[in-house]
Amino acid sequence: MSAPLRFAKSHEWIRPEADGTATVGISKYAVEALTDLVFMQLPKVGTRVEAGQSFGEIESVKAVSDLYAPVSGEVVAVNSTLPDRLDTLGSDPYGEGWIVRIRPDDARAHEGLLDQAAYDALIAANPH
Amino acid sequence: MSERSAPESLPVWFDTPVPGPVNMGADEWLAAEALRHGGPVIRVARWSEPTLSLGAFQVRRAVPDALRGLALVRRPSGGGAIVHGTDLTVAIAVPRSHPWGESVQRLYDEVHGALVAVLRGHAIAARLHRDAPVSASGAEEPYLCFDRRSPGDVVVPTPAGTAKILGSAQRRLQAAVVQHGSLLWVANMAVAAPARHAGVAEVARAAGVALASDEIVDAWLAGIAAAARRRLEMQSGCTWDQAGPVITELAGRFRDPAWTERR
Repeated sequence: MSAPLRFAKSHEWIRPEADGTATVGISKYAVEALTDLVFMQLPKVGTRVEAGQSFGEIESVKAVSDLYAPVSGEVVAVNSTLPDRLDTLGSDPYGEGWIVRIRPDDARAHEGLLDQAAYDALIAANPH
Repeated sequence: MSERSAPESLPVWFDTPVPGPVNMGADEWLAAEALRHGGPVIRVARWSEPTLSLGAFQVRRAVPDALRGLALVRRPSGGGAIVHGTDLTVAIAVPRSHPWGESVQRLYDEVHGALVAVLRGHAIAARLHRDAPVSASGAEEPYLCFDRRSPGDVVVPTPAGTAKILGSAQRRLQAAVVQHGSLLWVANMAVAAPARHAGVAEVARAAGVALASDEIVDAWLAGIAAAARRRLEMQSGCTWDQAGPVITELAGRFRDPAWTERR
């Protein structure tokens, strides 16, 4: 059974994996807010990311937004097919729409992020 | 924030003409200024030479032949390429926590809706485009902004259909949003016909209406301020009078060939 998701206020989600890595994506709310997606730039495997700092960019028809790392660590895998299948971000944001896997510096860093209930409350206060 | 700016104000800077990288640097500074001010801030930009600005991820090699040779800058915002020089470039920055910063479409519609109201007051039947963007159908988008249509673009009727006269694109930062808007005033004769588009003044003139750019811009800014429930506060100097060294440093990123040639 998968570990529960945690969320950053900037709408990235993170899921700790059994092998010590953590999978990162963006929430369905974020995808819907961005509207029609047209391009995505992802980091390379081996890139060092810092919590709260940009690790990639995503473009919709009207806007470019940064993707922010929810925790610090090293990128160990990238969903390299995603830029060619951006619709996956909307159709399966917590599964096939994963973006990167990170090996966190601190295996418990995600515990300081929002749980599902807190994230739901955050987006309920900011409807599209 | 300007020493004169009050929290309920909407500061506006009218900048003198500068090269593209300086305009981009000033807009990055504007984002920080919105956070310091706690609300929308606006910069009306001008260009020291005809300049092609590319969207953040547009492919540099794909610049149409008609536009090669122009000064070039890559924006941090999305969207299609724009030939600046005969347009009115308006940048607005708002904190993400402001109601206008929460969604992509809201800021677009507020700023563009204010112009629609002004033009309608001059008997120009402007409206916000509401059909889905071309890219949503899977087709490749045109290279130039004014050949594209997306929801919220301002279009005006022409004998051939409609012409887009205002388009915008955003950079959504962690704490602020910067929206670049380009109101095409007259066709830019610095570029060849395939890349040249009629401006709103020409469309209006063909319909028997004379528009004065200063009057339209002033009314547009007043409309934006009214929609934001803030008082316009025209700044006495340029942004670089206030933050020249910071803007110069920020402009360096946009002069860097690694940025311009990133894609």
